[in-house]
Amino acid sequence: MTDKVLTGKLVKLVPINKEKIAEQWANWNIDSDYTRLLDIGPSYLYPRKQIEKWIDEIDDGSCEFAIHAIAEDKVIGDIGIGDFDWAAGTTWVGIGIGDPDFRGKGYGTDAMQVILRYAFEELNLHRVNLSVFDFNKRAIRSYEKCGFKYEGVMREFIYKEDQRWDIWNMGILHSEWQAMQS
Amino acid sequence: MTGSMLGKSLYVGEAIELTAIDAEKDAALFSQWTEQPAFNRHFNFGIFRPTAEHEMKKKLEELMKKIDEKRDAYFFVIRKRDGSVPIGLAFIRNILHAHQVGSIYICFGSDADLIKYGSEAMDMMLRYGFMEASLHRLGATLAGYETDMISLYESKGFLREVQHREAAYHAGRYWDEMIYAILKPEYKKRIEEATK
Repeated sequence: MTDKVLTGKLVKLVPINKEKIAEQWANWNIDSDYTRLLDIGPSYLYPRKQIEKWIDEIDDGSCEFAIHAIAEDKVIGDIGIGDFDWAAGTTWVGIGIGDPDFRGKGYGTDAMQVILRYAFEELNLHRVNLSVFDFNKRAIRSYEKCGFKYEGVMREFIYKEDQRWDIWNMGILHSEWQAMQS
Repeated sequence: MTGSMLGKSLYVGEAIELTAIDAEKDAALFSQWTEQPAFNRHFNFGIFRPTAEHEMKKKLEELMKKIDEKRDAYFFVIRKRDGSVPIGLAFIRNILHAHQVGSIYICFGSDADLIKYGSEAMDMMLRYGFMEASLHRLGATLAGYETDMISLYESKGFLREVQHREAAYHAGRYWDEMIYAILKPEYKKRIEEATK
């Protein structure tokens, strides 16, 4: 068990391989629905060099992983935690399943369950936060399955398609996660 | 067009004024304020640790440089009208221009000044954020133990939107962290009602 900390049922979290993933990210970005669900900034086709630069600049203090589908032997997305408050034991998690063939099939949920185990059992954190756009119903269902609880909504935070959208905030405590394991 | 943009200063209030940051002159005082956990939360960030004067000077210079590059924040030093020493900092940061949103914070060197001048400082900053910087939404994340600050935000019409359970740690226990926000239509309605 001890050497399987980052392995789930369907996926394994692996380090981000710069050359390989930069090309994948550039391809995933072409799907504007994907980038609109992933990030608040205007969707944009960032050049590969720019993506490589970001990967180079990933802060040592955050924990970013590629999501590797075990049976298919393929990187399908990424997940990471960062912005730690080590006094309160909190962090923010973000996830994206870039490969459309792997959406809605439990891979993201599995990756999230792995990173929660990592956050609580290895990093000894007290809670994990996330924010999700209100139009991302599939993600919200996945987060609820993982045990995240709705904690409120940031009203009219996003301005796209000439209208305003809300951002949900969700969180899970270590104790809640533990209770789910039994 | 009706009304006028001119004649009422954005920076000079009744009892206080908003002034520019002077890293050289202000660092010593700001460094003293970092002894307070709440000031640390909103301005200093990271693990609570008081900041020495030379560190603060460097921090302020880096901050000003970053703001100049990114254009995503407005920082002011709050001073009493009689031109005396700074009593606090007021700022709007994390501005996302595409969405017209930002975070708004006011930090005072003493709790007494927060009680005395907080209301006017918040009025001036809300006017600046909505009527000058043209933002749509101003929010703030406050910890449960910041009771005077929470009262100030609530008194200005901010709504409690999010309650992150046990997300802050202070004085030997966890506290909830709240996100408060006010939207421009809500702000304008309050101003209209106040002037009726």
